[in-house]
Amino acid sequence: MAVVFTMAASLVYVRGRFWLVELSYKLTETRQIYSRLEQERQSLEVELATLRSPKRMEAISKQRLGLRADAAPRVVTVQQ
Amino acid sequence: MTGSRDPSRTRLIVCAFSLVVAFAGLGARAVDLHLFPDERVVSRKARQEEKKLILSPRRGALYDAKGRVMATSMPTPSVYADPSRVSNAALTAKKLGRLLSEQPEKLRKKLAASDRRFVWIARRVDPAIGKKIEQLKLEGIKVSTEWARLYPLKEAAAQVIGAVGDGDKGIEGIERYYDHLLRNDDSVVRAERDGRGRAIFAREVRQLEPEPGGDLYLTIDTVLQHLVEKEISASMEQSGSLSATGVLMNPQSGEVLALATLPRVNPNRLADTDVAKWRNRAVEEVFEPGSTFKIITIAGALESGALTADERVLCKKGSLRVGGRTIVTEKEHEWLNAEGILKYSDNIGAARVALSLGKERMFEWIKKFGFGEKTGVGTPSEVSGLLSRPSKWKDLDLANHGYGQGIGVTAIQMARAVSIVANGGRSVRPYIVDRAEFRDGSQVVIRPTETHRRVLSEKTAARLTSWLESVTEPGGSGSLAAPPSYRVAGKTGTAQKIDSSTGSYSHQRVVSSFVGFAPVSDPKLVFFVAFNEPKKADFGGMLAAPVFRNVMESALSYLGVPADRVAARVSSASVLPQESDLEPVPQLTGVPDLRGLTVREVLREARRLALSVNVIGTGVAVRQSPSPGEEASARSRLDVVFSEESPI
Repeated sequence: MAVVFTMAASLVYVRGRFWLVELSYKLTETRQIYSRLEQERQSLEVELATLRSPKRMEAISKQRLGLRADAAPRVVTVQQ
Repeated sequence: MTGSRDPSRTRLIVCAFSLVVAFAGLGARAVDLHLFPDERVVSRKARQEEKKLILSPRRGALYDAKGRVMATSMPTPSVYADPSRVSNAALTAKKLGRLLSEQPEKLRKKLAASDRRFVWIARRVDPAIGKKIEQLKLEGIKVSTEWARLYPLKEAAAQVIGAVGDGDKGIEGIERYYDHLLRNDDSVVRAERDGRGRAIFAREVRQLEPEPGGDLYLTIDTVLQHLVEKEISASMEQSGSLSATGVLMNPQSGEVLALATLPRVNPNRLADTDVAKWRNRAVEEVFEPGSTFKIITIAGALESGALTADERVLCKKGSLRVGGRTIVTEKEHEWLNAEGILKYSDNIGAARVALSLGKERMFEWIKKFGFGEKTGVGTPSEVSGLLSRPSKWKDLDLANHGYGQGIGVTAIQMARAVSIVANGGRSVRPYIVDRAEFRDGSQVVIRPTETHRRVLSEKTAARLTSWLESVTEPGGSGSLAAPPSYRVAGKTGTAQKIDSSTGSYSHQRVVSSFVGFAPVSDPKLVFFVAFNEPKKADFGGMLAAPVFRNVMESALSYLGVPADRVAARVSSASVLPQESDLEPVPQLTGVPDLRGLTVREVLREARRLALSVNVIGTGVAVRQSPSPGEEASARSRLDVVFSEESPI
């Protein structure tokens, strides 16, 4: 009885150990995916910042769209 | 029953017995090691089983006041070699050279250093190239990952932001000053490893991602920064100036919204940049302020009672003898009051006010306005300027100080000093970084929390504001600083520089500047701009004042600040039509009935019909002249009275 119990306990332990190792590999894999996605996010953030830089936006507005700077105030106070 | 024993059976028994003994021995040893661990064995086990990983955390990013990225870090491949393991250096160098666009011979020399175990081949290369090199599986060549610092806005505010050197360490600007918040130390993670050397993260799972450094949120607005840099850059080029500086700040809070230094540098190309260009001139360069300093002289004299608002000062028609020397100016005013001294920028008048104030009181007021000490704006290498003790001053020095010669200040100090006038008399501390935010949600507040000290009475500040506004009105020395839509107050400055060869002031080498604030009715911005040694249009009123006008007009509009110049409220506003915009012009037979319409609706209708409208009041239109149906020609003017209470 004791032998059976010991063997069962050992099997449970070994199975648990395998499961743990399996999870560790999955974790490593997930970590790699996370790193790649994080890297992609950062890369997109940089790209967005570059594309939206005021200097570039102004150049496109003027050269491609033919817009001109308008410094007139957006808010006009009407005299009471 | 007897007989000879089967020899194979005997061998089997012996083998089985041996195995039992061996396993018993191993079992006993295992029990022994578990119960009485041998330290040598334990450490050897740890060495074999454990894998040590060094994780470099990401450096915190820099964001502007609106959350736009100014600097961030990206993992980038770097290529290194173990020359002792490279068997064919020439072939390896040829293959690498092709991908890295490098001379194979140069690489071959690196790879031939067989006495070394480590040598960098190329650092922070394009990720695609890094991948190709990895795929080549060259002997002795490895690819690792390093953080690369990227500045997506390139030159914008480069000297403020600074740069990062090897080891991810800040070496200039905010990157250096706040390095302790931006950078976190490398962390070491221990993991078990399998037979193939792969890590098994059964423990320390939470530490798999190293804690990144804090993200800094700056007060700089990249749109305003671009605006300031663009305006200064154009004028610098036109005037042939050696360098230029601009500081745009909120006079109420001390937030620095733009801090420009030209010529510009690109932090993405650190190695190609002249080191001298990295100086943040707004905080590191000392110059004599010239006439802009008259604001401080007049303020001190008014506040201490050495001068009254209506008192007239003898300006001696442009000449004054002090301490055996004669101060001469081009202005020829006989008598001027304080307003006149500022408006016409009279040096003799300012010198006489300083003399009446006396050395000790003049020094005291210079200190009260924050000169002679660092502002603490939050950038490295800030200087405190040049201010000697009054005991060392001669009368001539005192007179010179009155109109901003013989004293050294920085651009940020000038902006802070004028903020005191703009905000009604309180001292503010300029700051450029608002806060640091960490991944766990915690924050480090960097913005100043101290209460603002009163320097001037509200009455004196209001008087100075009014006088400085007159400087920008027709006839004033800074009339070119006045934009069409906003009331501005300010002062021009043209300071001579010391000629190092003669030791005296040069007439050719000057610093032209303008400092002021707007809108006068409720100051939202202070702007200081200076050009170093312009070749053309070297007077502050000619060179710096128009830059001030353009920056203020655009910046205030961008911030949505209402116009406060009465004449501009409707007639100059963009809501009204320009002639060229209105083709074809509709032919009117009678004025439409605008009653009951809102201001916006009336303006839209007026634009459609090419009518000029004079808007009176707010709310809905209740009266109009000419009346509805009356004849009016196209482009005629229409007065519309609005009221909050509808008559209907």
